[in-house]
Formats: sequence, structure tokens, C-alpha cells
Amino acid sequence: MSEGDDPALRKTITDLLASGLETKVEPFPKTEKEFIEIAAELRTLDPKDIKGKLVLSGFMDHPYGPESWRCMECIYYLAHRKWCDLPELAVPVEPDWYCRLWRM
Amino acid sequence: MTNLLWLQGGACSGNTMSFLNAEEPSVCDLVTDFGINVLWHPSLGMELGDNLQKMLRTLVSGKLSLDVFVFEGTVIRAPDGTGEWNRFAGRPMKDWVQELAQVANYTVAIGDCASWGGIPATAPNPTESVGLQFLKRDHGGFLGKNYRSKADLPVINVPGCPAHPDWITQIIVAIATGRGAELSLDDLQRPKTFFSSFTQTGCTRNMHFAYKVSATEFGQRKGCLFYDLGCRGPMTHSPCNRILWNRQSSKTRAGMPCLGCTEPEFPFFDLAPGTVFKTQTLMGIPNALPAGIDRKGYIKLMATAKATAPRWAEDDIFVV
Amino acid sequence: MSTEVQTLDISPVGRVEGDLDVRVDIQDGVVVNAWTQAALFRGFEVILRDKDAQAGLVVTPRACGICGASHLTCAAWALDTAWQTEVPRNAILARNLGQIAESLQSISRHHYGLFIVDYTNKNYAKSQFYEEAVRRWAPFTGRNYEIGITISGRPVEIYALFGGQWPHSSYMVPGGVMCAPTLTDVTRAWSILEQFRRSWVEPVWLGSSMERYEQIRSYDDFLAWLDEKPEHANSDLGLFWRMSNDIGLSNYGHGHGRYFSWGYLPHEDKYNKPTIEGRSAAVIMKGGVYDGRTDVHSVMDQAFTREDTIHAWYDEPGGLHPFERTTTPTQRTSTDFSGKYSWSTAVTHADVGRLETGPLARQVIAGGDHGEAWQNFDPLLLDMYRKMGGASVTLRHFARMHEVVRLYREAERILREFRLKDLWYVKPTERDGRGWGATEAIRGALGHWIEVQGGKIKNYQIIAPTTWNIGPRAASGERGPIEEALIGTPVADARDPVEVGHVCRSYDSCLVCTVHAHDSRTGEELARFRTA
Repeated sequence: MSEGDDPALRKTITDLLASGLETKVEPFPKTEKEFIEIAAELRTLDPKDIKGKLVLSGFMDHPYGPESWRCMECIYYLAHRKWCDLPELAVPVEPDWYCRLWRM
Repeated sequence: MTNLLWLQGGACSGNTMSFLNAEEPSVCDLVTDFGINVLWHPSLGMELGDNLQKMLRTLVSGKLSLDVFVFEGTVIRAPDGTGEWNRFAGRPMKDWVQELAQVANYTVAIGDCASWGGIPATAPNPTESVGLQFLKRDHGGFLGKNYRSKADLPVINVPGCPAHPDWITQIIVAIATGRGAELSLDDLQRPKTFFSSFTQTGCTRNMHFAYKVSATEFGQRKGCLFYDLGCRGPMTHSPCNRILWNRQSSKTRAGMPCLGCTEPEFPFFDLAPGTVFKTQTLMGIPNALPAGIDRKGYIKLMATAKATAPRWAEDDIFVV
Repeated sequence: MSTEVQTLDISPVGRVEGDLDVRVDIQDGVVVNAWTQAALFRGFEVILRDKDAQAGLVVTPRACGICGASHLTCAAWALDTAWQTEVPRNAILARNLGQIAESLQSISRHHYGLFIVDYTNKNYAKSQFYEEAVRRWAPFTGRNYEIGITISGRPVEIYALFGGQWPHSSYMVPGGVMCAPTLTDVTRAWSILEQFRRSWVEPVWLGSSMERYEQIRSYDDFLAWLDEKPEHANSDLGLFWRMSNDIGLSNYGHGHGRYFSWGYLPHEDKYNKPTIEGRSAAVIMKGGVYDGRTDVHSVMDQAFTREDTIHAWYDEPGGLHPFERTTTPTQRTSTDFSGKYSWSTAVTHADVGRLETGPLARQVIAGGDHGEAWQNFDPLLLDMYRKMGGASVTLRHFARMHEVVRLYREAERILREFRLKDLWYVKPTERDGRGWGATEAIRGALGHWIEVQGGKIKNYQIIAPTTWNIGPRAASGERGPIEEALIGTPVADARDPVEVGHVCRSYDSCLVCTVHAHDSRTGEELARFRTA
């Protein structure tokens, strides 16, 4: 279930990423097994620990990888709300961002 | 009169229970309106001579015509091919099946177990179970690749775990009304009329499939079950969303991912750890794509759909 | 009169959860010894080993197409306790509704399809009620047979609204349910319930309003109700009761006289953090043990469960708790009534011994003053049990049918209690551990024991009601419940031992089939007959 936009949170995340926050963009979860392990780890974080979420899920503020994947094509991206619908993340995002929980 | 005999091997009786849910025709209608003479069925109290074994022998000898032989459940061959782990009426059930299939005008496998082994044949297949003419996707099964019933048809497979009552009753009515020859079967010997469309055909979540919105967890009021929850609706042949279950709904409508139970591979991946209710992916893309779509096409479709999805698709749709 | 012992081998008596074969020794027209034999092995516990932790949600409903919702209930709660999930109240209600829908279906279907058709057996042609029984209950053509079979499909439409289909949905999952119903699902479910009541429960089964029937709290009340109006006496319940007494079914089928129930239907606000230990105090329909010989009720705990394999086709030590079992089938399955003769284990209570399970067990326990004050209490069957001198074929079947009204009321309450805007599911974290899930399938106590290790199933054990009831002798030599209940059964005609079938079927069953009787000395076939 997604929530409404949160301009303050969006700004926090934007700033964190712009400041060069080092996140675990690699390794990409090759199969469902690795994906679930990351998601399970995300659930152990304090829901307010935004920085922790960004680091663990490998957020970047630009497309990534040989095929330049980005939020925009990700199954969890809600375009009109610019929101990540993955319950473990549930954060505002931008279409050109990316994280390693990307899937389609 | 159409003589019908229904036996169960390695079965849970789920197909029988499903069959008893039938309306139009109901089980009683089949008898009274369509002249189905149920010679014997394990759960129904029918007119029957005192002597089941004698009746079975009369059928085998050809003195009594066996128009429809319905089998539910696997053919159990354990231990060591003897079939002793499923004895029936004084001998291994498999021996009855072998003999009855030779004299039947039509042989019908009801449910996955009889069609291709189903759950009992899941690894390690402790009961050496096999379907009538298939073991999973391998043609042959118990009766062999070349088996034909007296009406010159192979075993008619009506898979599903369980099969829907309408799929069962309509086949029986077709035979009883002399239209058995018109049954057209696919390469897995399923009646095409039921098994050419997909489980997804008619699913209420189709719009979310089209606009790429996922039901990321159970209990949500929007989203398609294909992307995260392992739904096999786009790859599974069944009319589950055309002919509703119990006249009301379907698994996918109620929020349960399709398990692909009308296909020979069910239960998929032999229920290996990590595979239940989870879409299997490779580098972020589902391993099993909708029928007929390749990876490249899928990516293109996805990008386009995401870019054009309307605002409403992001909101709950199955609201209170 | 001859005192020679005649041995009848009756094969098969049973189906559905497996074939049941019975051997009885008859002396002076009465059964003096009996052996029950489960004749089919499908190896579900073997299949589940090393599979996905959630595989039981897919596999176990398919262990029994009749009690699939009950298996699913157990599979889900077993994982809930192992994973230490949180289960929202809506989900508890939705699971209970599925369980109840299945039971309502089974009550009507079993009664007409499997049980009452025997009353049309020519064996009872001399009964004053016979002609009417044939008119109503003859297979396919009987007036009420058709009504009963058709109506039995209705309650599971409610199951489909919440679970997608019946049988074989897996909509109950650790952490809740898969569905998120809307108001129309609830209102439609109401309408289906209402139709079930208006077209069968009241006009056909009771001949009375449910409200009037609910006033019956004692045996005397029941007899007064029966005499109150011709509609009551001539209802299917009234005719069943009067004819059962007329044809002697109230006189045999006693059994051990010891009963147990796991209890079922967890309260929506009391089992949201499920644990193995916390279950008994959280269920609406209370569990327990009732010893009819001493007239004492006590509490039940899954830790008392033991399985003997000395007479069962498994190569395992006896007396194990399900968590300790390995399900190792023996390869040699020849029948030896002094050795191994069944696929069913002999389930025992570590302190009390063999126990009967089923609707009668639930109902005599519902009459006890043990348990929590808020739990369901219903004194009728216990009163009947005491006043009628214990169990019988009639009482066992009556107990089953009696539950229809109470379950109906609980379904109504659930539909009122759903809070549609609240949660239906809380995603759990998968972890290793041991779990136990239990319920009462219509035919009795069902339990699943699971051990998850390394994210996969290390051990999965199912003990079905039928296992408790049809198990072979225990290591102590004590007979299984049905074996015991067969003792004293009169057999008027050894060539048509319909009475043996009655006893087996009064344990509900799924025990439908053709029974054939052989003379054990000559091997000559005496008779074969349908038990349903």
C-alpha cells in the first residue's frame, strides 16, 4: 500500500543521494532468493531509518548498469505519484533513479 | 443409457467433491435427465448389484458395456512395480485399470493425478505414481503411448487440482449425447474447448497486468499477482476465469496466485525451497514470461506500459 | 445356537482418505473382535521433506479433498507458530469462515450422500418408516436426497468468495489470508447462508425454526421438541431419529467411551500472536478430554500425542511424538493381524490411551465445565450421552448434524465482525522453528506438526481424525476406537453385515464403499454390499 507524497522526505533522500551517499548497489540480486534476503534485511531496519534503507537497497540518483535501468521501468514504480511501491521501501523516488531491488 | 464407472487410485477425492458441486447439470440431473447409469462410484450410493467384483469382471469380459471409464487419482505402482500399496477389490488397483481401460469406449482421466501424476508423483514419488497416459509431460504413463479406447481416442485428460465440475459434466454429457467424436484434444490430450484459453483470460486483475502494477503482498486491493506472488495465470491453460468456481469466483479473483494446476509440471519446481508463492526471477526479470512473449518483447512492453499507465491504476480498485 | 466363531474379511469399507478394510469375528450373531486396516499409502509426509517451508499450504489441502480447508487451516497455523507471525483479526475470521463453510457443506453432503442412503437398505424393509425413507432418501431419485446433495454445494460458494474455489484453495497463509474482500463479498455470503437456511436447514432438516431448535438444552427438551408438532417429528431429523431407534441403531457402536478434541475456531482477538502453548485458551469451541466412564473432563495438550507403529507398516520405533517421527514405510506390506496390518498408526494419549475423535467427542466436551468461561458451552449431547447410556451409531450421527445450527450462527457472527478497512495480512519474516496447527475437521481432530530448518521442511507430520479413529491396535494391545466400537455389533445376516458398515460410518466417514464378506475358513465369498 503506497502513501501520499512527502516533499520533505523526498528532499531528504535527494540530498542524501546528491551528497554521494555510498550504497550497496552491488551485487545485484541475481535470483529471487537473493532478492528476498535483501527484502528481509530491510524489514529488520527501523522504518524511519531512511539512510539505512537507501544504503541496503543500493540507491543511486541516476540510471545504472549496461542497460541503464532506472525506476521508471521498474514494476514497483508508481509514475503518477513518483513512489516506490515495494512495501519494504515505500519511499518517494524519481524516474531516473535506480536501486538494486529493481525488477520488472 | 450410458454406463459410467468411476474409480479412484491414489486420490484425495477432491475431484469427486468438485463434481458434487455441479449444477446444470447436477449429479442427479446426469442420472435422471441424461441417462447416465453410474455403475459404481466410491462416494455415491448408487444402484448397484451386490457384487462389485463380479460387476467389474463382467465389464472386463465385455458382457456389460463400459461406455465411460472415469479414473481419479494416480496409478500407484509401489512397491517395486507391484501396486500393492493401493489394493482395491481384492487386487492391486493398477490391474483393474489395465483391464478396464481395454474395454472402455471412452477413458477419462479426471484431475491432475490421473492425467499426469500430480502431487503424489512429486519427487521423490514415494508411491511410484503415474498418470493414465502421462507422467508429468512424458507421454506414455501407465497405459502407454499407443493406448486408444474403443472409440479410438486416447485418454481424455481433464486436469486441474481439482478439475472444475463443469469440465467434467460437459465431457460426460457430450459422450452421453453422442458427440464424443467431436471432442477435439490438444497435444496433452485436454479438450481444447476448455484448455486453449488461459487462466488469465477473464481475470479481474488484467488491467493491472496490462499497466504493470504489482500486488506486492497478499491482502492488497489492487495489483496483478504475476510480478511478485508467483501467479502462473498468463502461462496456464484453463478457463478458471471464464467458467467461475463454485459459481462465484476464482483463485486469482480472490487474491490467490494461480499455481498452474492444469499443466503437467504442477506442483512447479517440485516445491523446492523459495519457489512457493514467489515469482522466480533472473536479473530482475521473471523466468517464466507470459505465453509467447520473449525477454526482449517483455522489456519493451513493460517500458511502454509503465510510461503510459493511467493514474487510477496506482490506486486501490477492489475497494470496500 | 452355534458358538463357533466366524471370521468376516470386509474389503474395502473405506475410501477417500484411504481404503478401509475390516475383519470381524462373529459369535452368536455378535461381533466379538475386530481389526481395522487402512489400505492406501500416498506418502505426503515423505513428499514434503526438504521442500519449501510453505509447501504444506499447497500439498496438504490435497491430502483430502473433503477436508481441504481443515488441512489448510492447520498448515497455516503451524507455520504461524513456527514463524511467530502476527495474524490480524480479519484473517482469523476469514480462516474460520472457510473452515465453517466446508463443515456446513460436509454435514449436508455426508448425511444424504453417504449416511442416510443406508436407511433404504432392504435390510430395514420391515421398519414402519421404510417406505417414507425410500421416498426421501433413495440415491438420486429420493426427494430430499436431491435437495440435500444440491444444497451441499452452496456453503462452499462462500469459501470461493474468500478463497477463490473449493476444494483446494490455499488462501490461508502465515500472517493472514490472501484475500481482501469487499462489502459485496460479505453481502453475497449472507445471502448464500440465508438460502441454505431457508431451503434446507429449517424446512427440510428441522421442520422448525433455528431459534426454536436452539432452545433445546437437554435430552428431555429434545424429546419434547420432537413431540411438539408433526412438522418436527416428520422432518428429516425427526424421521432419522425415530427410524434409527426403530432399527436398533441406538443400541450398538459404543466404543472406548473416551473422547478428545483439539478445539477449534480461534477467537479473532485472542490468537493474533499464535503460539503452540496459547492455542487451547484462545479457541471458541473448546477442546479437551472426556472420559465417559468416570464422567470427568480434562484439558488436552498436543504434547500428549504418541504414535505406535507396532501394528502399522512403518519401520520406526513406537511411542513417538509426531515431532520425532520419520515416516519410514516398510517395503513389505503383507497383512498380519498379529503383526503389522495397517497404514494408519495407532495414535494414543500418553496418559489416557486410545481416544475417539469426531463430532460426538466435540459435543460431549462442549458440555463440560472445564475451559474458559467465554468458550462455547452446549450441554445437550453430554446429557443425551449420560441418559442414553453412552455412545451409539444414532448419537454419533446426531452429534454431527447438531452442529449445523451452531456453525451457522458462528458464520453469521463472522460476517458481522469483519472490519473491511482493516488489515487481512501482515507479512511475516520467515524463520526456522517448530510449529503446530490444529483444527476440527467435520469428522474430528486434525493436527499438523512442522519443523523448519534452513528455510525448508525438515519434518512434516499430519495426524488426521481418521488416523485416531481407525488406527490398529496399540503396543499395549488396546484396540483402536473403531475396532472397539465394533465389539457387540449384532450381525443379523453374515451375508449382509450392514451393521458393521453403520458403525464405521457413524465415525463419519469418508468410509464409503463396497464391503465384501468372506468366510475365513473356506475363503468362500459370502456377500458384498455397499456401505453408502
